[in-house]
Amino acid sequence: MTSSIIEIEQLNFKYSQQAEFLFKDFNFRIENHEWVAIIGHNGSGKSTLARLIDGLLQPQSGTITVDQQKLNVENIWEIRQKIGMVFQNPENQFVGANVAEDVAFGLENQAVPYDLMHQRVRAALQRVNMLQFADQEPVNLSGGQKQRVALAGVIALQPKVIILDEATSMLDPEGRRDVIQLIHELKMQHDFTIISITHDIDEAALADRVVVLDDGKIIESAPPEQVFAHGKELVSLGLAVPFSEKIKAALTQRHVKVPAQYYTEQRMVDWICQSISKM
Amino acid sequence: MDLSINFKNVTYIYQPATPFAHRALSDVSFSIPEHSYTAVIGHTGSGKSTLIQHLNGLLRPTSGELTVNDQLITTTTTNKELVKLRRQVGVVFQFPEAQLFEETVLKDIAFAPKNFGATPAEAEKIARKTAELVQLPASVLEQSPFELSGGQMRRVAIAGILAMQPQILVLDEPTAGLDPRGHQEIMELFAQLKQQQDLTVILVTHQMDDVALYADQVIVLEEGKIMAQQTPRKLFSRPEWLHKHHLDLPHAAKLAFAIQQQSNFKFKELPLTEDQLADQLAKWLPKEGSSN
Repeated sequence: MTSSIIEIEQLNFKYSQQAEFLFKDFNFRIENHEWVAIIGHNGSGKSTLARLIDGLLQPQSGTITVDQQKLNVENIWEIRQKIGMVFQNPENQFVGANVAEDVAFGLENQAVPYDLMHQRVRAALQRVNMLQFADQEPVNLSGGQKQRVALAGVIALQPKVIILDEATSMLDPEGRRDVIQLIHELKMQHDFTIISITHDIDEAALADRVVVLDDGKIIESAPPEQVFAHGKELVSLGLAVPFSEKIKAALTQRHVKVPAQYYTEQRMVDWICQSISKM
Repeated sequence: MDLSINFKNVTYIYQPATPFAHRALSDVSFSIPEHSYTAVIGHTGSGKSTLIQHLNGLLRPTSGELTVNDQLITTTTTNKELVKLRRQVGVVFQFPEAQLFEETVLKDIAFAPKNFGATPAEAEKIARKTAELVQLPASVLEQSPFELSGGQMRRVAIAGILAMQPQILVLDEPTAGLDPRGHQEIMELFAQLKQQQDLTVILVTHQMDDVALYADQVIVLEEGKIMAQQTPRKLFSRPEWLHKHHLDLPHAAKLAFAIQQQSNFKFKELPLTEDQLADQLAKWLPKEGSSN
């Protein structure tokens, strides 16, 4: 066996009310400790894929293997303990009366002993920089802070895989930056496999690999800089492109000879400044 | 009729005279001219939503007063006095598809005109016209709105508001949660509608690129007070001020400032969009077919 943490083979899935299959003979794998960003327009199948991996939806046929275990009705609860999910709306996933209780909720469900639970809650809050808010009520928190608490709740359960399902899309720009910074830090520590489903190009840029999904098919699967270099194709798929690619397109329209490879915004500024001084 | 909006010393306090009293708007005065496109920006909790809920009298000032389309709204204005105004001011709240409820798309859009006294036949006619306006394909009109994609559900909800044929359109983050294409299509739709029907548009947003593209004036709110009211170009020309107030620049302006800092290049006019940026830079950059 390889080191794949998630392996999907010959998966077929359709929603009962729909005639067409969304996924047809779909294959996909994610390596252990890999960070994968899945991008695609609304309805491309991103969230459906996350729900299939977590066993919230059942495929018509095919296998999903999580951490060497084939997902089935018997082991679904065991497998769900290996996967933590953070959803889009910070208001919908706060269940505790205060921050610490909210983080403890999942541990209580798993009957973790009190002392250990206390330790894990504190450690998880520490990791998301929310320890000083442990006694606060949710009304006192911003959207970004609530999402950090949601992430702490997931981390406390020590899953192997964390799925972020558009976890930053309802936050204001500061909250979004804040959460993206946090997931960047988590990534540096390499403890988890992370799947982030997102429209946010800054979030996708942090991943090891970007997977472009379109109507249940993988169109591209490559490091971010390689995917982002295809600005035009991304736009035609209804996806966002990094601003540096938008500038390149606007300059190309004006017959400027732009660099072919993907540049970050800073490299784009460098290139423009150097080119101007040469003229 | 004067279609402008005028706030005069408006203060709004949630749960006044209780320990939970919270002052959401503090002595706010400003005007919005008719047929303008105004962006309202500020952080979560700055008072944006409270402010827009005054525009059709969903909230009435705790003190102060405002006029919208010549209708005076004070602390004591009754719902009955506001019936006419509520037809003239269409508010698209965040995630408006949460308010869909009818069996079919057509019925959902026809609900408001019917409610405001149109006959079923008239209401259906308006609904069909409005569905076309928001570019919903005719094939979905008899479907349940709940079977549609997120982007189409949003269009149905927006059509429901437009079917009231409002003169003022208030948009509270109307594209939140949509994918980039959905975002662009809906924003372009509002820009077109404003043109065609000469609407007054008020947009609450966090996206500075949209402020730059669409708005002709910006109102900045912070802790219930107005910090600035000016054109986007003036506002975005003050990066230090924006930074101090934790507000972003449009992407193009940010890049322009970075270029100016790192080189001797000076932009004649601050670019707010990628086209404006490319226009000013193009002649200084190597052309296709040149050797370097």
